[in-house]
Amino acid sequence: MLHDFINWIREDLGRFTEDGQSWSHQLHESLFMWNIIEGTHVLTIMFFAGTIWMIDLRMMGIAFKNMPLSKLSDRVLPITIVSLAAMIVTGIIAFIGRDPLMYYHNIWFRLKMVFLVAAMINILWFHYRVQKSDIAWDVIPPMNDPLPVKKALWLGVFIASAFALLVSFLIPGDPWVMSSVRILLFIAGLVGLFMIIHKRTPGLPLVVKLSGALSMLAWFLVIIFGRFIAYDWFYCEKETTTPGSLMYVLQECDSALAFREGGGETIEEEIFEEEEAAPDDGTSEEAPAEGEEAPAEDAAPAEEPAAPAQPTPGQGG
Amino acid sequence: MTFEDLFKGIPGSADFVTNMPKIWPFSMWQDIYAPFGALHLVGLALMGGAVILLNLRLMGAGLKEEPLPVLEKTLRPWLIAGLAIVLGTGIIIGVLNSDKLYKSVPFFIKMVSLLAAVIYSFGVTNAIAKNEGRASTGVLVAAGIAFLLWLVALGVLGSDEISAPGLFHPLSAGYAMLIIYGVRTRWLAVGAFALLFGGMFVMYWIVGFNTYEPIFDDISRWLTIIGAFVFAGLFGYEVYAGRAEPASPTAKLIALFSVLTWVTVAAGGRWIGFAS
Repeated sequence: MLHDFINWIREDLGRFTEDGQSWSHQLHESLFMWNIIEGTHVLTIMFFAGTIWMIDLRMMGIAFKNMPLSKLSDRVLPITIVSLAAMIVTGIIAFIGRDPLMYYHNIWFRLKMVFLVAAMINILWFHYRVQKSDIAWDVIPPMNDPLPVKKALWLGVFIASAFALLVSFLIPGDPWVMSSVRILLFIAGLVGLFMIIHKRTPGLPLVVKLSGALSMLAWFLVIIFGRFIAYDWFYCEKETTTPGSLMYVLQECDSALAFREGGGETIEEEIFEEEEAAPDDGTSEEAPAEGEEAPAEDAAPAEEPAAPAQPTPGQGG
Repeated sequence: MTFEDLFKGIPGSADFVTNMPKIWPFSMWQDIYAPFGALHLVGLALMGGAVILLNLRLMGAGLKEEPLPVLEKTLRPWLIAGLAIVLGTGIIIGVLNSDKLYKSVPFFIKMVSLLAAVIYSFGVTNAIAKNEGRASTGVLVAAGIAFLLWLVALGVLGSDEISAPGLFHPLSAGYAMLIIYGVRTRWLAVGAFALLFGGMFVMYWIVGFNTYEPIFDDISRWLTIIGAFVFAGLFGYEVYAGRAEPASPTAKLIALFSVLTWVTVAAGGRWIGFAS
């Protein structure tokens, strides 16, 4: 049902006449409009994540230790909230304007949405539950002597995880195994880091620090997964995404492929086919933006396996 | 203007650039290139928070109660950490895409504005903040050099047919700063931005986003130019009328240029992908 709704957005939203085009198709074929909107979406990260992380760092007792949290929030949160609004509006338009079905069946987009919702729930949890007792910890109480032995233990966990993570990038191996190992090492490093922070600020309640850490991590992952959307590693159309595999199931590839077999195409393919069919007479004035040429799997010649994985044209950078 | 245009007279430079991805240890990272691109954005965001809060304070807005030297000291580790991530991942991305970036106009814009932004953050705004808002002659000279470099980047951005729409990003960031900082012109800035750029969006909405008629390009170009002049006028008035405020007009202008230069760095990076 959601698939049909997304397809309605793609094909019919904004199409007022029989031979007209939907806003999605128009934006996708626009010369610069989609680029400007998507570029603005990415740039609002500087304003949004940059400012919310400063509040998160204060919640964990790492930065702005001499400033009451309520004062910092009063000054910084208005910028954060307006940036979030701009990020969501441009994000929705960018979603509509670049083949929403591609996004819908993309594992990274789905993960991004999961962590976006998690970050929102964390905000509500902090605002309506944790913050109610902020009189006790709005100003960070004087630090008691932390437990040096336990701190050293967690410091060891962090350093060992970080070193092992770095070394893992120099060891060749099965991509799935290596990725799993790196994820585990990353989590171990985060736990070690959080525990060091926890031991250093005993005056702050654990729940406040936990909320700050969750916020930082959730927005970090929203950015990371948002960037990964541009890569075609697990597209349903790829032979490596075999029926029954984890990615196949998580991306609902059944409905995506059934849609294609029924005559539906992704916008990327439509654009590609149109350009393939058009004679190359050197006149490009009426063509879409230069970066919007072909799906990523067609972008690099097969005889150049050494080339790094490239994002879908128009989304790289 | 690209680095290829700049260095084509140096024998062997093109071959050197082409072979850069084969250099160890970069050659080992070709298959795991994507995470570095994502971390690059994380570093930019971390640095962005530190840059925006310090420069807003220099303009007399944001964390006004915090003394400038204390705020600078608080934000410094995050600025350095952000820059370390941006440069570390940026070098890896750059080496693995050396041939493409060597011929890329937005990459040239990004590098020139990055140089300007680093001068601003580590040689100008930090020094002004440590000195409680006062700028020495040496700092002003550094700010002048950074400003000229930024103008070069903007000039290249505006004159490149493919990347020119990217001027919207520093301009809209300027309006955002004015809306946050402006006391007298805030609502004028909101109105001007909505009228000019909201109007441009509505125009394309009506005629179709995929319209390629040159007349609409000309209208967009002129709206952008008018938007830039309106912004300069509003910000100029805000600074002129706020002379009695604790922050000096020079510090306010330097703070604004510092933020806009960092936004130009980010915009240049984003348009590398669009213009390739």
